[in-house]
Amino acid sequence: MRRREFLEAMGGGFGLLGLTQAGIANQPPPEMLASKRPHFEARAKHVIHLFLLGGPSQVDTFDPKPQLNRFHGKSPPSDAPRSGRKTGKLLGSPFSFKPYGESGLEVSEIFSRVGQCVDDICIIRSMVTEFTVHPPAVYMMNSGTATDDRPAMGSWITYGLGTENQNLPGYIVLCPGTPTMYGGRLWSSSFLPGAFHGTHIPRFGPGVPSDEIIPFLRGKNSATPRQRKDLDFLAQLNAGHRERSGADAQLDASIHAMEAAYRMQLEASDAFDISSEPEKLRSQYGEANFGRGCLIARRLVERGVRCVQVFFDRNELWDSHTDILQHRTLAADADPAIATLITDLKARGLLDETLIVVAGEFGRTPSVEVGFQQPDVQNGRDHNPHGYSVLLAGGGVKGGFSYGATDDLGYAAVENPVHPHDLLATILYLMGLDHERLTYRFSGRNFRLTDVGGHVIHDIIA
Amino acid sequence: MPIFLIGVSRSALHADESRRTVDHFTNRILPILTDHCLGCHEDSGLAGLDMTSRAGMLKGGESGPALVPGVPEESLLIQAVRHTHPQIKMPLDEPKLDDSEIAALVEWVKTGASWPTVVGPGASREGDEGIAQARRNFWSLEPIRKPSIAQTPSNESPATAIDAFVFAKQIEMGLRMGPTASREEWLRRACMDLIGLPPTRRQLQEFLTDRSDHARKKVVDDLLCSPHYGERWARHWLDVVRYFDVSYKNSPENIFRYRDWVVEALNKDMPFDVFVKAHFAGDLIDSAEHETRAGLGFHWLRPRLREDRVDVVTRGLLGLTGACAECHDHKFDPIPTEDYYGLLGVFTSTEFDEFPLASREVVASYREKSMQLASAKEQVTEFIASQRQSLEMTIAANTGRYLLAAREVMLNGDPDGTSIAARYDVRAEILERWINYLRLDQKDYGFLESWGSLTRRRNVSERQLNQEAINVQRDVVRIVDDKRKLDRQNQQLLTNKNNQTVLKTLATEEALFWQDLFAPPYELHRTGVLYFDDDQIQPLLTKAASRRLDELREEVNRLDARLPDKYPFLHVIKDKRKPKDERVRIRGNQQRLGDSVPRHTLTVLTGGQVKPFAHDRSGRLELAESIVNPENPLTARVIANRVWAWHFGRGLVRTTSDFGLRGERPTHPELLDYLASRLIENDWSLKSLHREIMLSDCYALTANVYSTSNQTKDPQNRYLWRANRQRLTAEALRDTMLFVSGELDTTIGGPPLALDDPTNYRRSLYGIIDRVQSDVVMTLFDFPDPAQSSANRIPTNVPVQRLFLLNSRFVEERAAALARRLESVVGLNRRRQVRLAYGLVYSREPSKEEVRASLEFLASCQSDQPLERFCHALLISNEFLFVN
Repeated sequence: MRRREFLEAMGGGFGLLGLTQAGIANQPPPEMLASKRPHFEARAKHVIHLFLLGGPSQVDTFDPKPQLNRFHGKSPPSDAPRSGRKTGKLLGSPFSFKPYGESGLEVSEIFSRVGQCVDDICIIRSMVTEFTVHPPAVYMMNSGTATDDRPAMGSWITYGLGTENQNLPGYIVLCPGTPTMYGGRLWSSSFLPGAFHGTHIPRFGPGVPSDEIIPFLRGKNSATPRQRKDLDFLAQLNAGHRERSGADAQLDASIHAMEAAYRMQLEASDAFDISSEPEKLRSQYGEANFGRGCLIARRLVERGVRCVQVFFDRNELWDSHTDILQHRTLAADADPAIATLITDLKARGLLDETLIVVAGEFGRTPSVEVGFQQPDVQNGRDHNPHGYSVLLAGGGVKGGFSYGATDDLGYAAVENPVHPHDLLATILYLMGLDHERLTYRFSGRNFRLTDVGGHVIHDIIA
Repeated sequence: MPIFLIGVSRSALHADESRRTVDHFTNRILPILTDHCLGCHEDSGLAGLDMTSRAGMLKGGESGPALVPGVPEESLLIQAVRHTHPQIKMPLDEPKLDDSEIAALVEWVKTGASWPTVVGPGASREGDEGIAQARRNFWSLEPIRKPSIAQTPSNESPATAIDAFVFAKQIEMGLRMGPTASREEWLRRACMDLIGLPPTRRQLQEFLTDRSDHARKKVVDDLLCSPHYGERWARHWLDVVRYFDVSYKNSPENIFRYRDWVVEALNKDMPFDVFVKAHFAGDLIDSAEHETRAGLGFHWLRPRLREDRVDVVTRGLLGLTGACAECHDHKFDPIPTEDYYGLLGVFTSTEFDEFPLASREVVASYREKSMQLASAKEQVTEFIASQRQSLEMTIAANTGRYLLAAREVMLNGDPDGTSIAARYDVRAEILERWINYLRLDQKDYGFLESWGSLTRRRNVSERQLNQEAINVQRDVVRIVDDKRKLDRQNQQLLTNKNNQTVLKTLATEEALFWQDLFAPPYELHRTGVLYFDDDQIQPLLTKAASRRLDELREEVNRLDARLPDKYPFLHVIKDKRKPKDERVRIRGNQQRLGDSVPRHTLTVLTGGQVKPFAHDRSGRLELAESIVNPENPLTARVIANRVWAWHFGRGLVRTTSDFGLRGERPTHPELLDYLASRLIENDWSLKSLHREIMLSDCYALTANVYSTSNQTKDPQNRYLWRANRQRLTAEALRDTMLFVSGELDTTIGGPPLALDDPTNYRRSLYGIIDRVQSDVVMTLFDFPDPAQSSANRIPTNVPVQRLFLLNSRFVEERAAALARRLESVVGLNRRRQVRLAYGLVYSREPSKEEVRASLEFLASCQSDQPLERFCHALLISNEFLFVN
């Protein structure tokens, strides 16, 4: 059987039903990452998930609240939601908002570059979650559950769709170092087969040689005639073994995996090697980790990687409890990186098929934090799960569009609340997957990314 | 003509059941009902229709009976799902059912809508005796009965009872049992299975020349006596109990003693029932014959943020998905939600404890010394804090001088760095920091605005500069002073702090300026520019203060030096002083509490009745006893099946942790009961089980697919017509490479070591298992999530793994070491090197053709590391990676 036929034969049947039929449930197909047909027509072929860990403040970034500024220093209304930590008077945003683009959507001055692309962006201003502390909120945004024991979104997506380029991992995570509280659990395949575990790239900033980026990508003799010769001998050994063994899908998969690894050496090195990018473009993305990560993400989706996640940092840097002015410093890196990613993908004609998601795990309180955790400076905001903002761009999403709204002061979503399950369901939908059908049998029942909830938000889809 | 009439008696239903009907209903019909109907027609019974039982469907709801048995066309159920009914189209708001699903329902109704006396949600509730009783007739809940040996045709004589059962099934399925594996293959398989390492050359030699009937038995006995057996099989067990060494904060530093205890218990063939009891009540049953206390370490494997012991115990030991009952009655198995809380109460009535493995005197002495050290450290911290306070004021009071000195440095440069400081009589280290600060762009507040603009002007008099410098100084001193006053006020508040406490701070601009200058580490890893941490502050203290600090630090060092390592101890549990029952959490919600539930074991084990444990104890010993009671139908079957699965690559019940309705049925139910009975007969000896399995003929079959007919009929090899080729586990891969290269350090036990340390040659069992940051290579090769009970490992074959095999230093070094080993044993003769390499890596002789091909490769490498490359290829080849 020719390789392509084999791949199609193996890949075609499995993704659709999510392997739930008893008897073949949980049997991994030999070519697990082969590209599979989605449930229905997909709008996006790739997703780039940019995660701003810590909880960026909505009223200082993408949700303008002039009334909040007007009532700065006054006590919040009596029916304002209670915060976790003690908060005091209303704290207006030190940053000014202004309208951008043809749509006139308003964005904060610290995200002015993103503002300039706002006609390609959908801002969801009515996200709501249940959690006021980081870990469950982060896991909910990432894996659809509050606990750390379920597969990540990227694992589900590659489980359902495989990836287009077998010479690169299908789910790649760019996070400088390991997140302290979460570790590798944030991109874990959990009970899904290990092939869908995120490939973590911890070092990719300026100064890191491109061939040190994926573990074991290059050895001394990679891609040399010597290695080719060794692999030819290996192929001989394996062929002889295969002949004696008779039909065995595992052995075939093993042989294919070795061939793919060989090609991956070249292709992955190239993917991470940004030296060929024009210097101007590189500096537009920015030379910090996040900017570099966004640039690499673009290169990866260009090369057919299904899901790329870029974490702003391994720490919860956006967690500005003490001083909201810190957001300006953070946005100095985030703003150009996000904006350049959008414009760069658009210039290459890839924005339509690439879904970009920019999110944090919750928002922040419109009132200032004054509790015992802030003895020195009280210029910051506590966590606010009742209303926060998320950006989407590309991949079939409406541009220049805002969905949902919070109240006048920015506390809580009052119009079209969106739960993280809804966001995840929508992401899967745009990738061509029905979130209720993409299931996996474990511990006696079927599991899915959206747990037992989630509704697709059709209104944001172009 | 309907076969069944409405109201037919339950006994008639009984009479008509066959296993096939049960299976068809439970595998085909019930899932349709559950997935598409019960969402609305269960608790809420929309339109008055309850579809959880046949009776409910016959009764029907607002629209009348849902079922007319035998007549699909008249059954509302069928009309609704076919969408032929004018109004009612089901499932509501969902896509129409598949054609095959509709056909199944039609068939079901046509043949009488038989609802076998098993299962259905709500059946675990008391009151519905018939159904509750019937649910307990589920195969895995029926008592274990040792079956008579299966009959086989008289011209075949199966070697063992196991073979008889397997063979009989194959005849039934029209399969032919195949040839046996070669002796080399059998030996490699047996060794990998039992000890996770390949045979030594001597073992191979001995086995190949031993042509007696006992040859295999001898091998199995020898392997079972090896201490490495415990290591290999402990790792299987650790998968089930989700063992780990390191997690977020406060990892249990002595948990490796639990792991070592498991190794030892297996090596000693501790009876499995004692082994299980040790996990719950190891302190209460500890004896000279069986040391069991360390088994309690199991409880420390619970994730810090999640109580999952009910899940691990029910799935791991009983093959029941008890955790489903946390939120509601189990939808399929007879586990009411009260059972979950009955078990939970046992665990939450215990608390973590340490059991010192040292004398009382040693323990007391350590604790005392440890407290003294802590107190001495606190003195250092407090002293430094108070010194820092004074320093802050001193710096503030000299702000003017620093500004002037800084200005001069910034204007004219200061290659020396200290002469300007000396001239202004300020400290050079502090001046440097002021300079760094002043060079930054101050946008957000104005205290330094006028100083900044003044210093940028060309013609400015000394008097003006001094005046402005004094102004800033006055501000800084005031701010520091005000801050101090606020701190004192806040101190009062902080002593009784709670979530409502509001602290006082300076006005925003002052606060931010103070933060810039003096704050200890705050957000984004910043500190105040003039903040000196504990290591930086000493040079800035007065002589007397510095001496005092030295004294205090010396005291800390002295106490630290004489503090011994903490005594070894076991992680254990003990009962709380007041054991407590748990209350049901409705839908798993801790804010919605239902009735209190007495601690008890699963009611399915006690005839459907709650049998509360003794009130004054947690109940853990009683729970353990209910699990290993020989009348418990599950435990022996579950472990026998696991052992089978860990040998054959697949259990007789494929879902090794789910023997419930939604799990799979055993392919060989009598064989399973035979194995379970034998286990109990042999006093729960696992080694006896290994022996019986491994000495069977079906264990010795070839893994090669030799028969297309068999392959077509049974592609998954459920009926064991051949062996299952299995990829090496992550641990076995690493261990075997080290073994073959001659580098393996076979030391047993001890604290875990980093696997990515290139000087670590110990077995992988002893690698640090980190729940937060899992080892990259282990994860690549499908090491399971250490935070969950793992039923089966799912081996994958993906490119990133192969990158490891191609390019990692680890594999490269093993190949080089193997090459050196070959040379040291047989010298430089290529032919002999090749033969030895095959012997070590594949445990067999190479064929003539293989020798020729190998020699050809070696020659073609010329002088570019031929032998290393040859060894590398062998070590990453399929024959090595997979065990036949």
